[in-house]
Amino acid sequence: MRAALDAAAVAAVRAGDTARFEELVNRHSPRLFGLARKYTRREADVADLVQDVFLRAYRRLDSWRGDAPWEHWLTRLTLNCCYDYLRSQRRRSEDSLADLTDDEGAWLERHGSSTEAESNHAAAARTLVEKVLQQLSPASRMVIELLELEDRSVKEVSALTGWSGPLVKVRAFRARAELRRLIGQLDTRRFL
Amino acid sequence: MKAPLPSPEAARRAALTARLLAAARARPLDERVPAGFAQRVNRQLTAPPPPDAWQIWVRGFRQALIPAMACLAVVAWLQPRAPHSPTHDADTEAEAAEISLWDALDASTGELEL
Repeated sequence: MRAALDAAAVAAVRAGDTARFEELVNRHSPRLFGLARKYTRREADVADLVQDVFLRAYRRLDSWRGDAPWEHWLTRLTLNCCYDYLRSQRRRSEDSLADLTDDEGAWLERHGSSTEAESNHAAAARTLVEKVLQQLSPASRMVIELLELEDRSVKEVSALTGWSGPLVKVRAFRARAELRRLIGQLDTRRFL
Repeated sequence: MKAPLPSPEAARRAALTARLLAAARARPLDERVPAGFAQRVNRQLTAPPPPDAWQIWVRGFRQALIPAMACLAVVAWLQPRAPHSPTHDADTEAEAAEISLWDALDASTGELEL
């Protein structure tokens, strides 16, 4: 149903009814905002990123052949934009593992002992993991996000990113090693 | 043959990694859309594309070139012509010198009389 609506709207925009593009923007914005927020916490950047996705989608509308749902094509475009964004932000990571908040430190100290107060510190754990993910290289972050956090298969990641299967596997191997190293730094800094 | 057991430190780090990933998976999906976002995208789509810097420079140059050339032409045309220009004085002096030379020659020979 949704795919059919998308296809109809895309056909109308291609035929010159550009006002129908707003319908596509309204339908897909929530999902794209959710996706973009996984890669940045800055709200202004999220809005710019999603806007850039829609502008690119509008300009490249003719490249959608219609053999897969438009939503999939848009998701792939969004991930490409997110990857470009991560690469552009590589030098700007404002949070480092050296400056943990008290809550994050408390979560780290409790993590191995028990599950008590887990829910109380869930927010601290989330900001902590966000800091760790920010330190990863763009490709590693993308792979960890898609493979580990969204539980996608290598084939799906390959289809979404445009990377070959072996490249996804190599990047996943490097990403996990990078993640282990960063968590090791965190652990050493806190406990040793 | 059994694989060697991981050290307590490695085990603790693996547990920490697993729990951090679990925390990341538990992040609630935030799908809020700012008010007026669709209109913002629409404005961008309908706005004329920004001209590139080279086009702006060429247009400015072309607009400035014609008045500048006109100003130069007017200034050149209005430039007062000096009655005693250095060239003029040199010619006059040369002419006077030649005439005086001829006069001196006439006076000495007395042959050339008009």
